[in-house]
Amino acid sequence: MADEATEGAIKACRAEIEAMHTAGARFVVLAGLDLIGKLEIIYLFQHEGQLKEVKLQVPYDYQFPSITDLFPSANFVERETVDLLGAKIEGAAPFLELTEGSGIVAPLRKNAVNPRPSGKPATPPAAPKEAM
Amino acid sequence: MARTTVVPFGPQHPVLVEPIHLRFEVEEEVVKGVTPVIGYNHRGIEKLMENDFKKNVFISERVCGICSHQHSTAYSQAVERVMGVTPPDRALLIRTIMFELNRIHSHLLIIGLEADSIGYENMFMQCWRDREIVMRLVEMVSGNRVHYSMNQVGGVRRDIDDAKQKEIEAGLKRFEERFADLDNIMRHDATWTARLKGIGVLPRKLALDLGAVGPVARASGVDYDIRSTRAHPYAAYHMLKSFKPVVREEGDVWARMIVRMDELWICLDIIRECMGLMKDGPITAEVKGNPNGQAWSRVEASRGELVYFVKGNGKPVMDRVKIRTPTFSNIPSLGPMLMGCQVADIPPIVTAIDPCICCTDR
Repeated sequence: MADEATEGAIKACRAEIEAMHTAGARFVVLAGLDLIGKLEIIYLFQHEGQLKEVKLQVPYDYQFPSITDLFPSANFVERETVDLLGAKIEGAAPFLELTEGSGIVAPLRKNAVNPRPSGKPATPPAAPKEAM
Repeated sequence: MARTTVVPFGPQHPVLVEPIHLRFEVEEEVVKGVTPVIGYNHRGIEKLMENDFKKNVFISERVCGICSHQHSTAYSQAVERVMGVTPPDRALLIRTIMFELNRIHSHLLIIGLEADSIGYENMFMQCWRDREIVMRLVEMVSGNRVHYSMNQVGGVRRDIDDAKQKEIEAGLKRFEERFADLDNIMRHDATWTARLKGIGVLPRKLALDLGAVGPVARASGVDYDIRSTRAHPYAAYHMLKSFKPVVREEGDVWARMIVRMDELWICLDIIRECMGLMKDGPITAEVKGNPNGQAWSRVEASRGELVYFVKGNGKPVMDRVKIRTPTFSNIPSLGPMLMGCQVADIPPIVTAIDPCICCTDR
């Protein structure tokens, strides 16, 4: 569901990143943080020898745009953020580092639960059919 | 019309010492497409580092067995920045000496593996024989060959006294004599140059766009080495004479190896300069309280720019540690390097980025 404040934050963040691109800045990395209920994404750029942060806070299930159209080098780290923090980044394919259905979902979230603490498969086996 | 064949390369392959899978689409003997698949070695170290900030120094070291000291230096200085702690000069110089010894054995390791990837076994053996001199030096200083455990928040755990400095100087001298031979081979040997020149070319623009770092970027004309930028000083590099990063324009596999070779000479100068600057004094600073705040830390590891982000919230346990390793940044550049190459050239091209999958997967 669209949330005006978040939409505004996404637009402002995008504008800052576009300005970085226009200025010829280099994308260094992004760090995702779990703030319980929402994620903080901190983009780090280097411009004229100085480091510059651009921050964005979004609710867990809120989709925000990828920056790979401006900085192709962000591809892997965006996909990693999808895998490890469950971020919804438009166009960033999941399962760069994790395997589908076989481990902890979004393990870097504070409330991440290991679905198979005893080594059992993540997906529980189907219940046996009742004898006809 | 040529038929496309899919050729899997790794995760187990004689050339790869660590698991990465590259899925090649090949027409006849020419690579037409490549998809890298990582994650075989993912250990969740960033999650594990939601841990005591002092213990994390030793966890960070275990991200990688080759650039272990570089990881713990990057982590320690990030926490020191959050806590406002400045390690004593002697500690910074010791960190720098270990850092450069680490770089020497890492570069020699990959130069040897590169020789191995083209079947040049003799050179592989020579590189690793000479590397052993440096491995013994780090063992003499720290008691360990892989994880030195030298760093701690606020300084270092072991000193390099005058006797150890003399041993280091003697080791470097021995290394230098042998190494001059290797240098000559790498620049002029017919097998080495014929096999590596002109393959795996990465143009400067692509290196910048794809975020290549370290010797891979510098061999493509990108003039970038954190050690030489005074804007972001770390360890003791700001105390040393400034130097120009080693940059080449060819962008091929041979250039990547020559950049590493030239950097080895700079390492020797840096270590000697550091030993010359060492004065008596403490090797640790007092650390009080717990980290509260966040900071970035960057170092020029053997494979390129290594970035740590740390966040503490006033408790002993860190809230978040993010690690961006150089190979993680360099893997996307493999695509353009490998497109259009012969299948026989895949091993030397992949090896030339010095792929560290332990670092990449964390």
